[in-house]
Amino acid sequence: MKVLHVTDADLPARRFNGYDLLDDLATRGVRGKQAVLSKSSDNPDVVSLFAGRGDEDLQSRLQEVERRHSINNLLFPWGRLLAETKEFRDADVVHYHLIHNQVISLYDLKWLFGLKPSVWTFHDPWPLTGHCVHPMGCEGWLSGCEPCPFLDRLFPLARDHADQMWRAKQRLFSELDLDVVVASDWMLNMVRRSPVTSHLENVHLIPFGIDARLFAPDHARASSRRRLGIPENDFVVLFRASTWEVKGLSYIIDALGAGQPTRPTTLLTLGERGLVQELRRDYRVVELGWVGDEALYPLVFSACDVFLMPSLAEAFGLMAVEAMAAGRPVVCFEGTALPAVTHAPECGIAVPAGDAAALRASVDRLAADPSEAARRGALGRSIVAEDYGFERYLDSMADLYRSVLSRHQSA
Amino acid sequence: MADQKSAGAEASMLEDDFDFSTPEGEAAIRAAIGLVLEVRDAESRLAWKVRLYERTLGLAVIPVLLRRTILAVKRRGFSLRRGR
Repeated sequence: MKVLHVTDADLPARRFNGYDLLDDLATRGVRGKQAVLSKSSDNPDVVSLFAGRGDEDLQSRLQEVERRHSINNLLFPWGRLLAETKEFRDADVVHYHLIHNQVISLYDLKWLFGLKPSVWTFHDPWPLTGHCVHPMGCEGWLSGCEPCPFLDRLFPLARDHADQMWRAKQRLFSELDLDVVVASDWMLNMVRRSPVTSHLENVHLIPFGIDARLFAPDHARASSRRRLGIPENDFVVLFRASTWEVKGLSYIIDALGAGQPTRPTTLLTLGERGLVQELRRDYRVVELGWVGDEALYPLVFSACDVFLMPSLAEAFGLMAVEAMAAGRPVVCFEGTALPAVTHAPECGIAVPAGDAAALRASVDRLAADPSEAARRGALGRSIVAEDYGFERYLDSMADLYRSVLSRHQSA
Repeated sequence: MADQKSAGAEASMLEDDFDFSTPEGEAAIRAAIGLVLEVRDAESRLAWKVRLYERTLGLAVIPVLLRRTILAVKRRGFSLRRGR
């Protein structure tokens, strides 16, 4: 059986955009290929839809036209070129991932889904909204996004065409026959509540899986710290540094900046550099940037004592699961998928959204009581083994592709 | 300036009046995507011709160099014979 994964890029987000499934699903008799706009790996199973610099320029011009007309994901022609590729023609099932990153026009989806049995993973609520990736407390998506009070959110609109985009999606989904995958109860609940998608019958809850063996056990903490240049006896707080407001970095800065730490503390960051300068006065800061080294990445989690993920919106939260696999406690905000994913309050610690003081109190408590961190960490590892195992994930995906194909064949 | 103003007026008229969510809007968008691809094809054919021209331009120099080399060799042989 052949499955083609369609997304915007191959290596970024490889853990959930289908790239890591290409080889691993072969053990279940599923041969994978991936189609992306611009390929950065040298993997022969990945095909690029861009034919060269000309297409990158065209993409920029189309983005500008969409921006000027306050629409999003309507004009991009790459879906039509996708259908002409050998990989698409050969595929038994096509699995769409981050296609709302300006890959395929919404108006080409019905046509594409009619050509092949199709699966679409909703990695975030964008398919349900007028334009934003995450509504974050706004409930306009339940009634047509008219008017939109948050036009500047990703993907921003200069003029309020959110209601038009919402109606376009509603009309599209009313005519679609496809299988949707969501990774959390939180996302499933949104799909069920949305007037755009509530009628869909084939919605599958399949949490992402990770290979927990890659994440070093607790005794590797010291060696991981040596490798990353972190003092062995510091309390180490890990978080993702991102300028995207959804990821909640400002709350981390407010929390950690609200007074000196109770013990020597190192802040370890993944993602963008230079965003936590004001914390250098009281903390040692180690900024790793984006870690592409697959061997180094798990050590980052192993080196920390607590992982902070105060996202204001999160449809799953793979990094939280990775921290749990490394045996580290996770602190998050309520109101996202994370409290359920991390099994708060028993394992994860969920504090009220936007409450920097509560975030800080959790960090201080874990710093003062290593036994609580150890207990939550051990529970996290067992939860990952039970709920987020990679083998289980592969089985679920292979079963899904087979059932989708057999339903289409019998139809 | 006048052209820019009228172009701006046309653009804003389109943006205000045109509803992208209707079936007519969908048909217009799908037709526009087709046009985008036609332009892309035309541009890529042109780019291919330019690349071909650039690559073969080097070949055009070879006969000239060859002719000059032959002439230079001939002249040298001629002057040597005269010198004897």
